[in-house]
Amino acid sequence: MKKRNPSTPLDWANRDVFHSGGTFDPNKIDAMFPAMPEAFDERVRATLANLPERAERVEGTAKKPRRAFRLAATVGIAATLCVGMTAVAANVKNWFPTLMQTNTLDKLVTIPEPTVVSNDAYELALEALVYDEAAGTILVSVRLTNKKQDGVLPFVPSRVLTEYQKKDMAWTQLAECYGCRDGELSLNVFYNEKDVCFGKFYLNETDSTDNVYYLEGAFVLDEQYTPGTPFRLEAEPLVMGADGVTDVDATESTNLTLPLPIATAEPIACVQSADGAIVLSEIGLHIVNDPTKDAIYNPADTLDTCLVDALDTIELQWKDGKSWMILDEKANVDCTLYTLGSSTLSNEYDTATYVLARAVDCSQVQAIVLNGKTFPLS
Amino acid sequence: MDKAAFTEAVLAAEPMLYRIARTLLWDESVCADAAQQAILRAWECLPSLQKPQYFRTWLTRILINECTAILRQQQRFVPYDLDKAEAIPASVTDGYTDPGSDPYRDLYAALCALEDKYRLPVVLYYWEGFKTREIADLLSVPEGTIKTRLKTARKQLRATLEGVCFA
Repeated sequence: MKKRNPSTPLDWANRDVFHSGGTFDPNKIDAMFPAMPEAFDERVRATLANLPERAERVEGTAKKPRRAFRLAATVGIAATLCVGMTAVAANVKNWFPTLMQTNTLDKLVTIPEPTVVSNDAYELALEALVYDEAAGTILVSVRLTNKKQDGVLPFVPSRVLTEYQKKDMAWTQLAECYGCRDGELSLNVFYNEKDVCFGKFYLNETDSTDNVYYLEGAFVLDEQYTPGTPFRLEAEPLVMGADGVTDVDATESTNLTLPLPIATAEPIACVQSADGAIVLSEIGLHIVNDPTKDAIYNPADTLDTCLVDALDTIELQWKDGKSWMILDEKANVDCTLYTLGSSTLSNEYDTATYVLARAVDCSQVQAIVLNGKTFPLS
Repeated sequence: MDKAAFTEAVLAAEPMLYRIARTLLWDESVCADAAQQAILRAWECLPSLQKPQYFRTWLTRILINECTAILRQQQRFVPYDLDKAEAIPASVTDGYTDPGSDPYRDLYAALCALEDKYRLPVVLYYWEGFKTREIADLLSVPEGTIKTRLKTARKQLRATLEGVCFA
């Protein structure tokens, strides 16, 4: 039996709203809300049945939960190299150890002039940037320093439910930097006035410490983006508004805006299909479905109404005869970090863009196989 | 609080979680998303709960934050869709348990028609039994503001439901 105020919904309806003297049926007014659907109950119970083991915490030192990080020797190196600002320096470090298991991105990484912004609470520094104009993707690596040194994370490292974590699905292994509560940070990459790049920042849990957080982001550019338009990362503190809604600080006095310069980025290599509908870069894949040409699928033949839903398997074939299965939905294989589909119901365009979880040597690619259909790439 | 106790406490609060989620969000699947996120965050942050007797209030606060975060994301990333916006009033009575009882449907529809800032305090106060002081704490606004909102909400409901017969 739930606790009730002296003024129950029944009293409220009778007295406070209608002054009608008790004509409401208490059972009906309790059932006035829609009945809780089974699906809701099932989700709650499934969540409870799959609660993750909690990480150990340091008690009594912070208002918000804190995570213990392993202090890695690379932190010092990273700080030094950030000042070094030459592409050569990238040879000694994989700047995306969380997102990319291989270190073949060296020559692609831009390490610009020291790009650091700060306010009273945080310092935000650009570590590395990969701008992929060919396929329309970006990788960003930043270092966020908590100047208060209180060990309070400015976001929650959010993971998918354990039951959905699969070892061959790259993105399910990552901890998203998710800010939603009062005082936490909302991290977004923008271009133009407020056009957003779709993607997420993930926490590098290996290198981060209690007060220095290394974040790696994978982003996709949508159809509206004009190549060459500069980006910026905005870290906006969330504040609890008068309406009980956390939103970015309207005053913007505490916002951190970090420019993400792409001018010095080395053009990224790519290969494409004969009609240009498929572009594979070293970190991204962009596919356009054109029913009037060599279509990957025909919406009229399937229940799927857009390319990203229709694509069940993506496989790269190398010149040496080997292959790499990027996506196989039935086998729970997904070697991508972020995916964005853009389409219109009238099929004016229907595209899918993927940020890959492994750098590709485009010179060794022979073809791509989409849903069993082979498209040579060159 | 161990996992078993946490599970029991969450299940006891489950109807409340649904009502509050449904008060702020219109889509059933999004309500479930919000509840799931809230439960996971509550579990993760459980050591920060100093007094177990405040579990229900604490969980409510987390859920409201999750709901508002979802709303905020939708505002930022989803283009304004006129068709969807206009469909909202029609969805108010979706799942309604007693469609033959029109006055209650009208009352619920009137409740749903209130602005968020009025609707949520009404549900928290009259349905969930929170005190105005607790609601003020939950929503981080002064208690006087909550009382004013409750008063305004009642006034709007009376105006909306004028002529509806509940006898």
